[in-house]
Amino acid sequence: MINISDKILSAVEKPTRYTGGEMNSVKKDANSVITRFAFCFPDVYEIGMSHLGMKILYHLLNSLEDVSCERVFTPWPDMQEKMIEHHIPLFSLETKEEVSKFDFVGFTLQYEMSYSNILNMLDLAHIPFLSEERGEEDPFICVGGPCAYNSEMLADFYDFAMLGEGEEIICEVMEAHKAWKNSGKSKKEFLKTIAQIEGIYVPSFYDVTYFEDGRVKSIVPNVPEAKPKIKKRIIKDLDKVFYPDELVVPFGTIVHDRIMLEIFRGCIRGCRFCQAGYIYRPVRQKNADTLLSSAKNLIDSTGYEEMSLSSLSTSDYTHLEEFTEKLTEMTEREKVSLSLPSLRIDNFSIGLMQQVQKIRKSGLTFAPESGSQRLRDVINKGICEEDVVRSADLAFRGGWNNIKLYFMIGLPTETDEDVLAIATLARKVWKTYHEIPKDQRAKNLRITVSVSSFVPKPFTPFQWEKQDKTEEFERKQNLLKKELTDKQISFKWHDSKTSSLEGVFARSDRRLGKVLLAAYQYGCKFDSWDEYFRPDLWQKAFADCGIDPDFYNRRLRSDDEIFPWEHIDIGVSKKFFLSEKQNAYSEQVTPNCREKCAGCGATCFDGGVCYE
Amino acid sequence: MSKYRFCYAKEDGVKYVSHLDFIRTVERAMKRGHFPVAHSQGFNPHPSMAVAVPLSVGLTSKCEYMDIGFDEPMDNLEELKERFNAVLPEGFHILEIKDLEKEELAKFKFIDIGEYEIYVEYDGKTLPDIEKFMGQEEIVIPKRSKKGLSDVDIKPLIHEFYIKEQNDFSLIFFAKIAAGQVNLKPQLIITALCKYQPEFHGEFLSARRLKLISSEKVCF
Repeated sequence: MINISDKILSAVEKPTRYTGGEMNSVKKDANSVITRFAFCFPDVYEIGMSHLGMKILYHLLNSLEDVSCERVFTPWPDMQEKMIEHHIPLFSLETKEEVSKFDFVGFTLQYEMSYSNILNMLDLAHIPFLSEERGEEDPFICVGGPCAYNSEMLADFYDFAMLGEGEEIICEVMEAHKAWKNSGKSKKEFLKTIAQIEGIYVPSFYDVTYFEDGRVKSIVPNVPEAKPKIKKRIIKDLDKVFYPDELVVPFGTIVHDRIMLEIFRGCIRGCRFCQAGYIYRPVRQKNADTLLSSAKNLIDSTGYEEMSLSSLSTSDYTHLEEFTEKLTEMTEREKVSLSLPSLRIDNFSIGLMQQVQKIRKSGLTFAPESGSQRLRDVINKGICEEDVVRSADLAFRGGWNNIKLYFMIGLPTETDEDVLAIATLARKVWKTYHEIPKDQRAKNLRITVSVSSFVPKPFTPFQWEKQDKTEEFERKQNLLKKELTDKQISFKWHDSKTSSLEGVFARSDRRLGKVLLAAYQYGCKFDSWDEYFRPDLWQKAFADCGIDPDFYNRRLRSDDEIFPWEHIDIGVSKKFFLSEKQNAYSEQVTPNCREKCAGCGATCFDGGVCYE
Repeated sequence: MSKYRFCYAKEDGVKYVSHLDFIRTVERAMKRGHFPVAHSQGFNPHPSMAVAVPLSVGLTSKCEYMDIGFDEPMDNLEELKERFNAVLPEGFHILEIKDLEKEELAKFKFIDIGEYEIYVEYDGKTLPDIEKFMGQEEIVIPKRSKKGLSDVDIKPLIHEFYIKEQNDFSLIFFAKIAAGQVNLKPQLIITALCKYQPEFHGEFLSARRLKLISSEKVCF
């Protein structure tokens, strides 16, 4: 156990990031369990504590008798300085145990820009970076989460990945560990055992060869236990799977400081740029009764004053009206306010939001993603301009005056005309407001146009695409800046250097591991934080390793190229992605899963929307 | 509305929980416990709750007070205490509850004195001369306020100050000082001591509040 002195804690920002002891946190005696799992979120406490997946798996693992799970976040740089000065290794929040003493150190991969923090945390924990440098005494380093589907640039650092939804697979790994722990067998033997579990990927069991130009030539298992293709795991029946009745309630405020009630997984829509829309297929939803009972338990155990529904698209929940009627009855009785993100705006949802947000009307967000109809068809965003204008009209008449519009630039086939159409659409929304008589709308209109830069992701129809270069993103941002000058419209954009690097990481191969290591050693960490992001150091790392980042994000791949993630199977076929790519080029819209099955391949999971 | 005064302790594990975070913690605890807490009227109802003399972050206490209003009278205060402790995070602990209708206790705004133990680390060599320190005409230290740094004489705010315990490299001071409307943070006495007696190499570690006193009436 590590003792962090008052001198240190009183000298750092937000010391409760490091002290633990929050309501519903679980502290188990190390001697009472067989397996100790350090659940690491490679970002600061307030971000990591907002993540639903971690909450689920934390309570799930702690519900197992022989397992304890403790939380670890990246210490903020001020704390890191103190830890290094006082020789304090990275520790867990529950028992303040050194992370290197755990059996498993698991990182959740939620976004690419957190990768340098993984090395940062291993470093602080005094755990060797490379799996081949770690010995029998070191913990197993594992990863999971959406970015694990292609985490090849981390392949040299972790021992295994758990692909897909974690509730079942993590328990199977814990079972295997219990059998292995005192068996006297080597760590490699353990990895061979779990490599046979569906969804487990052990990168060291695969040899990757490359063509001279850097493209992947082959990915071949080098032990008989490794499967040629690793298929992701899903939970077939969400009504039967573990969902925590408790959530850790932090003392300080965190980003999402509320109860999160997950209503379904997956998305029926199939927007072609959206990785989440494919990797979580097929759509499976929870029964209203299951949800209501979860909601009640969570209100009782946390005392939270706010609850939010969680899914990729709330409106696609099939019995939303019935369900929300019962849920609002409960939340009103319990004095809990309800927030309803990702709702499509129609008469029903406006009425619902007016009911639940009696006090404050926070902003409403629309995501047309593109300004022009042509480009919306390319990306399969199944909405038209009239939808946006009608929704805005309803919202303004319903009393909202603050509307956010989300767009992307740099999408495949995009022209300057498409970019400028973003400004046109924003002005149409502006005009919609001003056409409503003054006594029927709220004062002080605010429209925020937020533009992010497109990052082609693996496991999408755009995985073959070339990404715009940084300068091109900036040129397009400037085009819009000149157009969006109205005082009531504010324009926000993402840093394009971050997007470019994200583009490189997203379609990484193993050769990028050394770049990551070099960049970390030059001082890169907290890359998703503007104040710490150092593109210059990344550039130096690429140059020193002799790797051209353009190879990863500035290249149109041919249909038959072998991807670095070719051995990973998310259940959606490459054939389907290719046909979707063609549909994008020919501006053909693909119907959503409930309208008509598009034959993506996810029927192989025997469940969900495919069999409704 | 029936009002009750809660006397509670704040221990080591939660001493970095700020005042505002503590209030939110209690509000959530009361929701977990389903207590019939009275709420303010208006658009954004808040539980009826007041805390006496907020404790600085990093300090512990064995006697904090908060008044909580309930919609109905609470008959069994011993049971209420136990139910409350069951829903509070470890480190916050209700010690006793009193009925404000039955006992006349000081209003929070009339609390003016606090007693503290102050924990200080030092080099184990030169002890401070407290008699000399307290015998000074004035004890001036720079104090940060909204207007910036200004010099303040804290002498009138110190009622009692002495070394209570002496160990190899640490000292425990006792301080009876102004608390409430006019408030002196216990760490500032140590700052002052080190300023006036540079031969004393002490460093403030933490402090524990022992008592809150009102010269008007008993607090509890």
